[in-house]
Amino acid sequence: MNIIVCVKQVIDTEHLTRIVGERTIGDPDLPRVVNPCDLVAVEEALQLKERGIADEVILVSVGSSSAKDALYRCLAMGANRAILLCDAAFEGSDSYATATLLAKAIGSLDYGLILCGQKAFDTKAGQVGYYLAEMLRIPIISGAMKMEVPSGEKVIVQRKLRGGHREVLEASLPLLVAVEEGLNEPRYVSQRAISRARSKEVKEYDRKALGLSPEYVGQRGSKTEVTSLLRPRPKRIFVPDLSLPALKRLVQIETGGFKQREGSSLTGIPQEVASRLVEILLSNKLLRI
Amino acid sequence: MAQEYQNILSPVEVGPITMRNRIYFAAHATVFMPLHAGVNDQSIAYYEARAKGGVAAVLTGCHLIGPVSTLTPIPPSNLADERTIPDLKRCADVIHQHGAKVICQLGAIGRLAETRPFGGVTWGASPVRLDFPPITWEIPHEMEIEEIQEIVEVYGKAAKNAKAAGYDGVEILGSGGLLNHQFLSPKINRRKDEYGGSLENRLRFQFECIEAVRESIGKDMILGFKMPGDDFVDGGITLDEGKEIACALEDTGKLDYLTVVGGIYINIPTHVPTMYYPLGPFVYLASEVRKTVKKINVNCMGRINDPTFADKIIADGHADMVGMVRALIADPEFVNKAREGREDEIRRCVGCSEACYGRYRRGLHVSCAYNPQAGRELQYPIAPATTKKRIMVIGGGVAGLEAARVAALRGHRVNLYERESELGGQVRIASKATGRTDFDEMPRYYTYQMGLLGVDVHLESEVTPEMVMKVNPDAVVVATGSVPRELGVPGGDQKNVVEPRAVLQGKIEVGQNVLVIAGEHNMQALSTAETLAEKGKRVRVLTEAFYAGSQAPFGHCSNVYSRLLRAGVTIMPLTAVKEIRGQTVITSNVLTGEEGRIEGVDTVVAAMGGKADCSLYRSLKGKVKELYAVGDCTQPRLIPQATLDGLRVGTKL
Repeated sequence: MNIIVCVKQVIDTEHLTRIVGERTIGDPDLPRVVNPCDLVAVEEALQLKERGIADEVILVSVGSSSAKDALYRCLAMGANRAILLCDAAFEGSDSYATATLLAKAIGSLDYGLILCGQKAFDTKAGQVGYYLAEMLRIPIISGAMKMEVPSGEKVIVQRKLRGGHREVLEASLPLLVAVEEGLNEPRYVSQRAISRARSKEVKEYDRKALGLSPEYVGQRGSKTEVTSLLRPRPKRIFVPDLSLPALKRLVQIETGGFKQREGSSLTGIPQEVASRLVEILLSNKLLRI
Repeated sequence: MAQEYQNILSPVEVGPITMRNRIYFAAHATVFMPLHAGVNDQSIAYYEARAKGGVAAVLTGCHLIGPVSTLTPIPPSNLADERTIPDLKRCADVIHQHGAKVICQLGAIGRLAETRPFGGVTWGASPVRLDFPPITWEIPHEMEIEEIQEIVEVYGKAAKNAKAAGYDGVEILGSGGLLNHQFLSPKINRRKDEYGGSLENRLRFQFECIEAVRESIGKDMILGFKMPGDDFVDGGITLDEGKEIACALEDTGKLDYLTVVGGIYINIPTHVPTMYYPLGPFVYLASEVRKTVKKINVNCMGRINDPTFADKIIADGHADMVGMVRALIADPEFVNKAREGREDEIRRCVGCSEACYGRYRRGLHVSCAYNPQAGRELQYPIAPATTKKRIMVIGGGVAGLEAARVAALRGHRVNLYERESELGGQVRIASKATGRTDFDEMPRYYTYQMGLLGVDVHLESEVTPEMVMKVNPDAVVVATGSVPRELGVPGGDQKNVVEPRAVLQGKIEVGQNVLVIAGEHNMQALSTAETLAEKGKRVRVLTEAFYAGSQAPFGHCSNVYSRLLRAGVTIMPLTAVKEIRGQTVITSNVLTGEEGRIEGVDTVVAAMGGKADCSLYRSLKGKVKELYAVGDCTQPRLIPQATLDGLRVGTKL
């Protein structure tokens, strides 16, 4: 069985982003990374391969040629091969149009399981997985926090519900699973490994190679359109506690109402502090042994 | 109109006049000498730049009126004098040419005046002194009824002159601890007559001033009142009383707007909130007042430096207009840039108060730490260069960046080299200190401008004289900055003696018991001390001066001291370090010579400021066509001096 992992390169959201024109975020100079959720998906696929459940891990991405960097990183982690769907005509694709491209490329491949990240960290739409499953006419399980593939035929998935609750679902293959961050800890890859991975081939397909007519791709093939982007809104105006004395009011304004929790601090040698901390946690029922 | 700022950019009715948008350049002391009616060529150029930059209105002043005001020593400086009309008219005409309205702020200084420079008598509501370091004002003369009436008359006369000069309105300064505020606040006004005691009595002087001004200006001009929303001093005006004041002022039926601010100039100077405050810390005062009054316009101000935030204030109904001072000193084109969707180009005020309030407190004209052109519009116009040169700027601190920016604006081809991987030099390091992250804005602004102006920035590039020879530029600007100055005492080279730049960048381990030596008198030692205290270190600060941070901009000291003291930091004044032996620091009192020992010091942070790094400049001297040095590499100084160097050279190239 082969596993297909959908990978997206995103702007590193840790960095300051800006709006260019009215509808696009960022600029070409901003650092880009593999979408963190997608790294989790790659890691899960690789673990299944290492346990002998999967034969090949195949990466598929939609993006500009810079997205190759993301694919090289995942190849360095241990994926077998990579496909990049890249064409200027794909620009402006929404989740639906992106799923159309992925479905077209994946449809011709031999696979048992498709993994993708629950959502991309830049646009946070979280829709591609659903569209893709529908287009490929396979079931989808989203929000995966834990998964097992006991045989080559079925998958057991724990889904994230509210407040720490989990739902356990079982489905037979072929299947698409959208994974959450935290399902596993993606492995570290060195810069050297990434450089080595650059010698691997990334197969590129453009619109013609995919056999798609222009009305199915880019903005024309999209169901939604970005009409405007707004900058982040500031928080509400803070009003201090007016019953406080003047200087206390000022401190409250200065800290924006952030209250330093008053509590006792433990001092002493580390062993003593640790054992007293454990006692406190136990007596407050914050810890059970 | 940019969809983003539709609230702030929408017109608003203020009494009889329509403002084109909701941002105005609020009144403030500018100290452009010689002050002639509070305006002169320089101040007109200064106001003009902001009017041209798109603000709805420029508030000139505060034009101090009355018999005693140390800030206006040159006659005729009193706006009540008719000889001031031609100058005022020139000012109003220039502002009107750019589509902005012009309002004249009038205020009497009262007990804040000093008699030392020019003699005379300081007038006050009551003989109550302002006690706040580093300045202790005088105990004023308690004004007699005739003197109160004199001030009221002067208000009326000055307003009449403003009208004759073609102004659109008058604002009475009833806040900021000036005379009207001194009558208004129960903390200062202890009078037993009809001008003191009850709120009604404390309002009497305000009503008389308002009446006198309204009578002079008639119905076609705006009349506003700037009022305190909270004195932030126990026994002073609280927000509850502020609301009562606002309602009473509205009920006079003579006012078109109220501007609500905080502070009384007695405790922490809250009327110019430093970078230690969040944005718009006193907007809530205006907001609460606006909820209480019936329909009068209510404006807010105080550390509002961002169009998005300003828009939010209007959108959410906190105020009708937003007043800005420092934000517009920093960037005169603030409004136009926001309107045109160029908000990333805005030079946002960081709240450092180095060159605006900091200079003002020293009796110098206002400017901006990283807009050195502010207040020097006539002296340093940026005009296209006659010969386009290839320029090499070496060093990406603020001095080099300003030189590169100005040179590129003038059409020169500029290459900028920086040793580190990011621009910003010491300012970027300063921004790592607790409470000082707003300094980040300076490198952000300059980095963006470099891209915009097509300056080729070479990061991680150490420049050698050979490289310069090879590039062979038409001009070289050396801005190599400074290195940390050593402590220079026996034991000062020990391993546990570190310098603050490395500490702030987290490059060095610091022990639990820390002694910070304040060998510079601005913010380096204090902000490093706070950063370490916040990490749970036990910190002591030692200084040879009467107090650490004696040269820090006014306002910063009270903020940082309050924070240091709350964090348990102790400060030892008048103490010099003689020697360091392991974990023992031997000190001596600078006045008595008495020795002391501080034991158990894990780390000594020697905040000694900088030492010029001029080696590259020296080796290039005489070898290149045009050579300049700017910033700390000539002499370690502060941000305003560094950027001014940059501007000077940038305009000269």
